[in-house]
Amino acid sequence: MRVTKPATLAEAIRFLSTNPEAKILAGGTDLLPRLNQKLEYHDLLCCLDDLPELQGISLTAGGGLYIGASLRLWELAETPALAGYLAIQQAAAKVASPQIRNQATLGGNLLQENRCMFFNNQVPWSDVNKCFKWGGNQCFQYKGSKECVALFQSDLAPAMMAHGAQAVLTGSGGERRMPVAELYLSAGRKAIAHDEVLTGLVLPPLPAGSRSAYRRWTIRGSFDFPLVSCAVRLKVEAGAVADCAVVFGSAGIMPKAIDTSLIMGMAAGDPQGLAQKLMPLINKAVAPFRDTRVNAGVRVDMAKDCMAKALAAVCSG
Amino acid sequence: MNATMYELELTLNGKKVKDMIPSDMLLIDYLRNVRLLTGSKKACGAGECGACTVLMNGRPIYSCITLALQAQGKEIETIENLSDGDTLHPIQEAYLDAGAVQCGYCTPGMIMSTKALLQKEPQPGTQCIKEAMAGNLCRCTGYQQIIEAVQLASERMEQRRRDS
Amino acid sequence: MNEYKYIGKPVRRIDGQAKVTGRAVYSDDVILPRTLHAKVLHARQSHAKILLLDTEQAKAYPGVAAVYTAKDIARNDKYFRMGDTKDTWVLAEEYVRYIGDMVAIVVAESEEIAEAALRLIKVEYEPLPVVSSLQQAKEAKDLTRCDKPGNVAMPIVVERGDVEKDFAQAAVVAGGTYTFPSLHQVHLEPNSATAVYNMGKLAVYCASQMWFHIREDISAVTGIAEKDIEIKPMMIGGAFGARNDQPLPVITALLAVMLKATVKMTNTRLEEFLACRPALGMEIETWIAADAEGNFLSKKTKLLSGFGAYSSDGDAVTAIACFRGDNNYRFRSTYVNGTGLYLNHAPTGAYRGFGNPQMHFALEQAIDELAVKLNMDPTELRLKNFMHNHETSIHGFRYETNGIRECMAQAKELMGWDEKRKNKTPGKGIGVAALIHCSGSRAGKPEFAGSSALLRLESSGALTVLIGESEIGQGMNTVCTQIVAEELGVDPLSVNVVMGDTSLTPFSTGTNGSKLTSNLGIAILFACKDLKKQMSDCLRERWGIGPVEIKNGAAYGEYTGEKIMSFDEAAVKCSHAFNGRPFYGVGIFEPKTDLGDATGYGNLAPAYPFGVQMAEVTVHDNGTFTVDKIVSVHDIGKTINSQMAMGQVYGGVLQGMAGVTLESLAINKEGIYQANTLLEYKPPTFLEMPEIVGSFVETIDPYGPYGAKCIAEPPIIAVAPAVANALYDAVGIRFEEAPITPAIFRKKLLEKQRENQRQNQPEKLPENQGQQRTNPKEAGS
Repeated sequence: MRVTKPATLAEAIRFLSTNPEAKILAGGTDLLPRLNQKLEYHDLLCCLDDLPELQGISLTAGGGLYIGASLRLWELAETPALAGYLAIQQAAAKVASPQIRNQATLGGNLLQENRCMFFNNQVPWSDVNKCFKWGGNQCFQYKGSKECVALFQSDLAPAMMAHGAQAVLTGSGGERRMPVAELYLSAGRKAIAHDEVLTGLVLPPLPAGSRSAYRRWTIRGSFDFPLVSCAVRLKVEAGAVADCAVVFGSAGIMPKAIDTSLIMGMAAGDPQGLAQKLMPLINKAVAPFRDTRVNAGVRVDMAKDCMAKALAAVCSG
Repeated sequence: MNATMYELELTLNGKKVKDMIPSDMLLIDYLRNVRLLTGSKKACGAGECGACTVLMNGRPIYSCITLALQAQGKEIETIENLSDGDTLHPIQEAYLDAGAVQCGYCTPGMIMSTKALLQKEPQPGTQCIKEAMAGNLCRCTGYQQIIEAVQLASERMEQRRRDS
Repeated sequence: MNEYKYIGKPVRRIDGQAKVTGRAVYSDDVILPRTLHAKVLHARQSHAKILLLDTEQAKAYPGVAAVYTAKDIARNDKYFRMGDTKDTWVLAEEYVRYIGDMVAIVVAESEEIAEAALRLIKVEYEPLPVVSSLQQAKEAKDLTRCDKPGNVAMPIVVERGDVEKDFAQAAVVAGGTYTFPSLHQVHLEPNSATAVYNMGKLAVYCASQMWFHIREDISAVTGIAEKDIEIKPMMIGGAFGARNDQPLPVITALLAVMLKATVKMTNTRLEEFLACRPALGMEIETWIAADAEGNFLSKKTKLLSGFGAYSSDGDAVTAIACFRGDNNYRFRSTYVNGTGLYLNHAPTGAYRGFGNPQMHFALEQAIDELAVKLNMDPTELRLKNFMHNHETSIHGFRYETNGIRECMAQAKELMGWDEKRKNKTPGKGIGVAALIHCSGSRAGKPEFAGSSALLRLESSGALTVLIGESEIGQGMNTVCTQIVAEELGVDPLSVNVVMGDTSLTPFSTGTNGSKLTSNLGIAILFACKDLKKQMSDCLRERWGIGPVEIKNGAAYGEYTGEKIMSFDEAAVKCSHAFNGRPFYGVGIFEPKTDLGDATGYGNLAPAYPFGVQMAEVTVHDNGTFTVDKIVSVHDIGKTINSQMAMGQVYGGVLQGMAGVTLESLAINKEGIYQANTLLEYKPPTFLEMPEIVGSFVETIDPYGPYGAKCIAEPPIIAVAPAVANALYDAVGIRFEEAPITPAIFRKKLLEKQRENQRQNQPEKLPENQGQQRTNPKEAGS
């Protein structure tokens, strides 16, 4: 395996456009474990870890924020610039473990591979259980599925979506922007060309009366990916819900936003009432995914719990 | 297979070093096999245990899921840098006095996480210690005496600061 | 009570300084010149016939020194020594029987080259049915191995007393079927070994709990005489039983001999999971009969245990599971029918507790159930039935000291048991479980029950303890120095300890059975006394000094009590007067124990540790639970190192709790562990710690050193049933299956709610009914 480390973004994009097989490595905390465990192999890596163009946080002309994709998760969790975007900071503060948060980048977290107990605990030398992700033609989560339905377990993605973040992609053809939600395609694919780099995120300004929160469920308090998570952003006007976003993470092959029109105008002082109203939407939002410890029913319960707690946090705070 | 070579320059335990290494070499392999700093351990290769923890620019990272070239131009500190001749670092002393060491395999990583924690938060509460150290697994101690060691180190370092 | 200077004190670890500075050398830290590196080709299937095995391309790969398969190994069938069942091979011959089975080995100039060459080995398999569960193995429609009809690796059937009669007379019978999964030791250091072959002699740098067994294995497989093999003990990064039976050092040695070279091999974490020796999963049906007052009459048990594809320590573990728990209580009769079954997963063996935690999970829940039926406090029911001092148990254990009642009293106090039982907090529960274990084991050498130690005195006054056991983190090397320091009055940090260098130390069966402090400790004590006598004799005979007594770091006149000379001066005098004669204090401890008759009856250990563990849990309104607190009180005999003893309690309790709440190998139908990473297996982190309150009862055993028994294994043994019993107390549900995952917990809660609903007023059910599935595409996209 060869690894190249371009010094500038332009150099990186030139390299990527002439080496379509190159796999991008940022912090490395998502990719390198799979490489070490022989679950994945690449001839060529392009390390974007320290590109100067991908660093820093700045104010945008519209009063929002531009966040470089190489910002480390600990910076994201601790920077005062993001104080109002609590869901994002809470999500960043919960990812994996302190060491991972010191190394992993925002961009890498948003573009991490989808996961599943069948693939990520695959025995690389075994020839039973070959799933789609492993070059086989079946899915063990859902027998009969035509493609991989592995979970997308990013903590940051639902929080970014709840805040209406835009992804900034830079490639040979220049720069383009799209809502974070649109990064995610079926079967874990991402809407990024091989010569494009996720260079940053643009967060819209926080409207007055807005609050957000992120809650998640894990087996252990550290290391674990969320079994399910929920980011909530709520705007309150005159004591009533004026705007609300509820996005579930680890809910399926991509984060799932649910329709919150049902609670518009309802009293913001009654988080339980809001939660009750939205509960019926969760069954459909959360994929009945199982692993070695939880089944579909538990995950739906956990999703409800996450949402109720996140709503309670934004209503009370 | 044909890994290209990479000229790596970094500050390792306070000294500037330069090495030609394969570009795909892991930081843990560079430290252990090139630099013969075998205090950091390779126990999972996946960032799931913390035995390989070293400090990069003062913050703990897993050297088993970091490429050596990611340390280019940075400061790396390993367990070998903590004691000074015959004098142990107060954290090392505290680990011994609190009984925080059993098999010792997690210990170098634990101590590096402790060092970063106490740098940032000189007097951490119990929950703060648990959160900050939660990226390091220990199978022997049940963690209780490690928490006591961190508290003891914190007290002694605070005392030393007050004395000087 | 005696006042000791070092015994019972929190003396610092003697290997601590090396460990906190990163200077401690573990097996993988060994870097020797001209080392070749080996990698194993494991089976691609859990059960298959090898149709074709072609290594030609791999052999031709640049940098490859050799590629070996079973047919290259002359003594391929000389593996293994632990059980009598000779059923294991170095490399797989005709069949592969689990996913970690070894098919071929590549030795090359680097690990990378070896790995690349592995991919060039061609193997074709004919798949065979996979036996992955105890029930499937028991039905025996499919065979784990075609050479073992019925899948039975071992049967045990023992009856003592008249079980049927006692059950017929019983007023109450309680019990059920309890399932305990195969757990992994998760020692943090993966196995690694470096073997150096030089002109007919072999040195092997490795980690082991049983240095001399490893040497026997290596001799058997390589054909090199044991006297030409030196085992170089490295620092050990955790063991917990996992280093009783290790293929890796043996195979590394074999490769070094075959290539006449230096060979190193290191496992990956995945290999540690799939190709090592985890604990036995068990399914235990047990029933206890009692009279109306709660006096136990009898116990009936049917036990199935999962051996894996080959026998490792499975037979010994199963036997202990069958018998040991019974000995804590007064039974008139007992019947046990245990069956070890072959399964197509890794061979299984020792894990802290050695089968005892599995049985305690069943037994202590059955007793709890009995207490419910009798409407008795479960602590009272146990107190009524515990064995007493100087009694002999139903399987022949004789108790010189039994502090179980004191343990119960302390545990109740520390938990606030009576208060919490009286004033129940909704959503909270408390549970109790008692435990018994042994301080002692014969570990594959039936004639060998004890321990031996040497204490060498140099002319400089330097003291070195030479023993064949292992330091696996438990702190035995420090305990050695404490005993020597106490006896001779020298500084414990000045005492050297050599553990396990087979060319220097006495023979030993190794570190197992929680026997080091109790058995080896006495041997060291005897060695101290012997050395003191030798020194005193020498001073009198050669120098006309004395008689003297060696104590407090000096020689004192036996009658005058006056200090005559320092210890170091005495050492010089002894050595010089004898033309440099080396002084070796020899200590041999031969306990008065029985091997056990054909039915397993006998007084197996010189001492028995007892304990009581209690758990407090909270059930949350979102349908989950947390373990808040665990109280762990142990009859330790006498504490030798207060800090390290408590470290054993904290560590064992957290392991025990994790085994019932978090950890799982999750064996699937293909016999593969679906949790084969630390991320998925889920060993506990700092954030899973409950409050652990440890305490000791010192019964001062007449045989142990200073009265000590043991503490290494007991703290893990009864945590799981204590937690399960606490959950029963909180929600009225029996959790017969471990681990109690969120899925199992929720399922049981829903069942209970439905049952309540049927019986009482309609109660609101959670909206989602569990297993129903929506269309994945709809849900996921």
